[in-house]
Amino acid sequence: MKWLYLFAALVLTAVFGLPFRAYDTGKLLPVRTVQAARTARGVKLVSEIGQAEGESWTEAVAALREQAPGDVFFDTAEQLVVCAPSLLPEILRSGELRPAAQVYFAEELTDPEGLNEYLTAHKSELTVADLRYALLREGRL
Amino acid sequence: MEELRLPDGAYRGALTDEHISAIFSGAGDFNRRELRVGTHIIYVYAIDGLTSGGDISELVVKPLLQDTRAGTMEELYDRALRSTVYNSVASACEDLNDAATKLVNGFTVVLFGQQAIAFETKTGEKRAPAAPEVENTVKGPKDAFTETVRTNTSLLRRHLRTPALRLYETQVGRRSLTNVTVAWIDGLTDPELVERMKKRLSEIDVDGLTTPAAVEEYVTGSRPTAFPLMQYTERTDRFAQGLLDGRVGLLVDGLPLGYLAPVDIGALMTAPEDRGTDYLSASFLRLLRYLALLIGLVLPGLYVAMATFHPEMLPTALLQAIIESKHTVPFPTVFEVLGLLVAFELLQEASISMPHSVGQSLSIIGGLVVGTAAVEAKILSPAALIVVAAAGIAGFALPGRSFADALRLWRLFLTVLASLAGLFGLTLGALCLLVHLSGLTSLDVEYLAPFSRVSGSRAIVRQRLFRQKYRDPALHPLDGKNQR
Repeated sequence: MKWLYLFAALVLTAVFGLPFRAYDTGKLLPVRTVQAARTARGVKLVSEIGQAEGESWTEAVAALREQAPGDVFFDTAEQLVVCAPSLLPEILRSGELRPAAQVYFAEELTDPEGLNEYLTAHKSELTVADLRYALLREGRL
Repeated sequence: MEELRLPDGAYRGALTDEHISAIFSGAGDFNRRELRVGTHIIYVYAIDGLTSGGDISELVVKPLLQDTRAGTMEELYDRALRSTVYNSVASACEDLNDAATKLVNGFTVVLFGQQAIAFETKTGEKRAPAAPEVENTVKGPKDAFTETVRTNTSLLRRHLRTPALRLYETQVGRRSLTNVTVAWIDGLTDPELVERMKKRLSEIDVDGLTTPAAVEEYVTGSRPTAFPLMQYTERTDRFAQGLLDGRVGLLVDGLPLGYLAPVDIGALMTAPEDRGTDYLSASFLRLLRYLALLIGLVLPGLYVAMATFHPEMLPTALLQAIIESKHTVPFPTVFEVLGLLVAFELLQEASISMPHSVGQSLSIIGGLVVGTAAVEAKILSPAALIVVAAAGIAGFALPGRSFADALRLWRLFLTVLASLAGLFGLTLGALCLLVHLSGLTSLDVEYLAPFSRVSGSRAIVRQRLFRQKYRDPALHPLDGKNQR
């Protein structure tokens, strides 16, 4: 009987107590390339899933999630294209992007169609982790 | 008759015609014949089907009737035992129970007053050794065990001509009176292992020992585990090799299998073909088997964990492919995989209980037709189907069926844990399995013995035969060296 209680406790802990989020794989919308730029409204975010605007990066992400037909998944993002370097601390602080994502700097937003393939062929030396480390050292994060 | 039978199933009473007839009253195959030899009346008993009528007539009845010398019943008995009856095996029955036991073992019992002699007149009707059905090899011998223990011991003697081969015979089962033979090589096998096996057999007090599960559970002490604590084989050469390694063998009348103990995971992962091929191929195949073990055990759980909880750990292209394959599937990944695993088990069960020809059709219909239709109807995703099928195929690559069955159970358990807590649950389950396996012993030899030693690689890599100079020290063989 004690094993039954132990197993029940384990199941309850696993279902309710662990900081994991379960995804419905069929509804996932994986993001591969994210572009971020400053606009008059605040921040504009462009990806293969769509584009959204908000007063801040967090709000732009929330807006994109709201209007997307599924579950927008940033953990697969391979490249981040930043059109305004001043956005970096805010983006890095949000923790949406994985540390291995490569970072590019651009003048303006471009058409996301085919961008991932282009950037994959032209790898950047800079990653989110590098930038996070640099900004932390400078005390800007 | 009831008063003759003791609570333990044995018979007690005077060795008389009335008592023997009473024990077998109502048995249609029981034959009793009254003979007059000189001035004496003797009785001949046999069980039809177990004995050969021709042998009884020629080797027992004829010599008895030809003995026309005068004398007492005692002298007649003595002459039958020592001279007149030229049957190769003749033994005096100690009591009523001994006579009854001899009768059900294919002997002809002749009663001389209150003394009896049992003559061996077993029928030659038994299944001839055939090629192994499950453990078939390309190069190995083709004589598999049969249901008759004596045939099996003779097959074993042909593989191991050493006079040091010991065969201890006993009966287990109050009512089944199953003949069980413990086999070992004197001067090689650890005597403690042999004694332990004998002790366990003597402690079994059950009605019958007729099924493989009964043998395994009663002999190993029915530990709460799905993993086999004895290795079974239908191959005589493998059994003989097991004895040469220093293990104890067990042959059970009625089962076309030989059991070997102790067993560890390394022994269960070796196939009979390993010694039939060169060491490089054999080592490669063993590595492949360990890979199959890993795939068969964790792949469905890993897929569920990755797809449901940690999609960020998958390469984006692979995740994209999984997402696309799952786009129109109405079920979550967890139910999809668990459902497929259960369907896979059902399919296996169904094909086992079907005749061989129908079983094949069932596999084709169940696996290919229904699977393909389910994917085309977008009820299942191809990715889930591939994962479960790959795990299933990997399970079939393992040499021992009992071991593979245990892994099937753990695979389901690990998938459930992965569906509850992702990689954390899967790791927890794998740790539970490791702890469980670490605690298992077979005749006091650790189940993970090959990996708990520095020479653990021997379990994975098959060394060149001329380098295998020493027997497994975990078995404590008396003679540790097997070649110069």
